[in-house]
Amino acid sequence: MILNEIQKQEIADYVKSVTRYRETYNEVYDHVLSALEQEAQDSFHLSLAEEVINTDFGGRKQIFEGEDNTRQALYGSFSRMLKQEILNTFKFPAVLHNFSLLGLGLVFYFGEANSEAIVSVTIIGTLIAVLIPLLLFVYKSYIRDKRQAKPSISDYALRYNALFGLNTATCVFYLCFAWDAMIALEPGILVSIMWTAYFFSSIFLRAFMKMYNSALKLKLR
Amino acid sequence: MSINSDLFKGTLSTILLNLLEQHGKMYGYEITQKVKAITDGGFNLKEGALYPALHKLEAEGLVETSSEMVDGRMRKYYELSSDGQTAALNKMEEARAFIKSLKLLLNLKPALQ
Repeated sequence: MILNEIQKQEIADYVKSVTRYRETYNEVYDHVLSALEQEAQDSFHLSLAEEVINTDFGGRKQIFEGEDNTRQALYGSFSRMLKQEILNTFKFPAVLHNFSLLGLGLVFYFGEANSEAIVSVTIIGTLIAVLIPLLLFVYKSYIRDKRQAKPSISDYALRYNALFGLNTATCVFYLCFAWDAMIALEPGILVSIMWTAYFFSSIFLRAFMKMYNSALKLKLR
Repeated sequence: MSINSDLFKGTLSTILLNLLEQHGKMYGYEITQKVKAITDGGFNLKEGALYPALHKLEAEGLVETSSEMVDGRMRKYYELSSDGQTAALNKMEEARAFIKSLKLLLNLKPALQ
């Protein structure tokens, strides 16, 4: 069967109503059109597309279930990639960056510098480091993809992994640095904690960037 | 004769990995048609079994995907990753061992009666 543009649009609108993410939409739309073009003999009616979706995909409910499973699987996959990239920062040559950060931390700690100033600078540095992944997510999902009719199925996984650093940093901040902090600590210990937070936020940022680039190549098209 | 799809449930990933190993880059509809042709229509990948299985393999890193515009629409192609190549060989070994055991079991039954 040869489908004209109006019929294709009718199918596209129907497929949009049975999918939530653009990856699923693209896949289901291509499958339905391929099936109708190669198998259908009768004149076109939308019920033919519905039939393909019910027979080959098990209908809307099963498509939604499949989307949920894929979303969870991607979340697991991205989290594993992030953990692996975090571990990779402790391997040569990436570990050299960690050594230079540690060295800088020791210079500040044992130096004569004002500990309050160091804490302020490292708080700002930590916030920037944990906010960059979130900004990348916002750029990808709301600016780069704003013309897309549907969100990407990988946005969920990306968002939660991007939020991991910010959530952790917020916890540390409220526990130790806020005006009404839950734990009152000596200035020297605060400097150490803040530097440790900055050290790990730097590792998180580098790992996230690598994971984001790999994920972008593999999954986010 | 149409084969009960429940019989294939545990081996779907093996079937997909083996198909991709033999044919290289394939898209979803092409896979369903290839399975249909190989089994002479005996086994149809229906009821939403194919895509969840492909997405699972993708999330496990055994399959890589690429997209191309074909006739004005986006088509997603699946192909084996390097880990997928190894997994395909291992899964085929497992499947052969399973079929061998199954044959023995099914052949033994009449002898026991």
